[in-house]
Amino acid sequence: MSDAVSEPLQPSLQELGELKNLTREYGEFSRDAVGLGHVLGGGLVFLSAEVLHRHMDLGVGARLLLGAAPFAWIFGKEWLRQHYYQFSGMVTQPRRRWESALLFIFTGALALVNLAVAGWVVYRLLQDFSWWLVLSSVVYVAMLLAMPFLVWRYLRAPYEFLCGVFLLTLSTVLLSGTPLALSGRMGIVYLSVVYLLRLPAMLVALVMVLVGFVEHMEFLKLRRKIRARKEAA
Amino acid sequence: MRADLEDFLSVDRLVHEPARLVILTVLAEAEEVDFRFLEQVSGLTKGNLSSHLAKLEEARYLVIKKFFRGKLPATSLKITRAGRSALKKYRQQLNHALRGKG
Repeated sequence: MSDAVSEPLQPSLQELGELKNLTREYGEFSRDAVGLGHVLGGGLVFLSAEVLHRHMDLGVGARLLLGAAPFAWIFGKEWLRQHYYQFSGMVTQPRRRWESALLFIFTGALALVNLAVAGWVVYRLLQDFSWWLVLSSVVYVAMLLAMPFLVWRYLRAPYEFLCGVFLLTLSTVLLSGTPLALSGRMGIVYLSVVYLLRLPAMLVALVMVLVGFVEHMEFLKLRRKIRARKEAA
Repeated sequence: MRADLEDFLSVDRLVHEPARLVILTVLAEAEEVDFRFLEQVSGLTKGNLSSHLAKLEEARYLVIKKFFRGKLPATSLKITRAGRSALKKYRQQLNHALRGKG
């Protein structure tokens, strides 16, 4: 077939409008919309919050599984974004200015809190030194310091931020055995904060599941439109 | 000659061409667009699309970036500021001409 045959006629304004919408909608899946990724994240928050509520004395296997939940979510979400939702190649959308500003404030606040807690753990360690606490504290402090970077890179929507911080905080406690490092009054305060986060995280998780489901339905519609265009060509 | 008609006749031919108008319209809606996506939604063949992209790149209306995603070669396209303003100006001229017609 010669190239001239596939040359389109002058596109109508309506067709150009459709193309614009198609590109914008598809591009949304490179940024905030991750459909099933949100369903997965919401589900994991529900599961974690329930397990945390009912069984504080978890075994090593359960701790590892629950501790790995945020990493599994981030990996699953990114895989879906790159390989499933952007099936026709990447189309990236610029981040809205207010979203970037909000994320900057949230991540900055998180980094400050984590730095303060990490400082407290090191201070306690110096006061009450033991090799078991060194091991536990190194894991704990490393995860605290990595958290703002993970959030900045992968959890950029506001509801992802809240659920992600909840899961990562829980994971930090579960994987490092932190109640030992943060024993006494500080440990109680810390676990109370995790408990306080539980309710809003569950509410946001519910929203995430619903939003994810709606996004996925929209994606299926969008995919049909793109495939129809390809077949028509 | 009427001013609106003069305006219409002075449109940027590089943008006015149907395939290139489609390309710029798609690129203007995103930060970066993969070649594959553009190929699917524009309905153009690879060769045809490449030749139009080369013309737009020559006019500095877009930037073409070639790279490897894993082991596979990929091409991404980004509209430039000049490309955006050329498209904007074209739309304005067309709107002006169409309004004058009525």
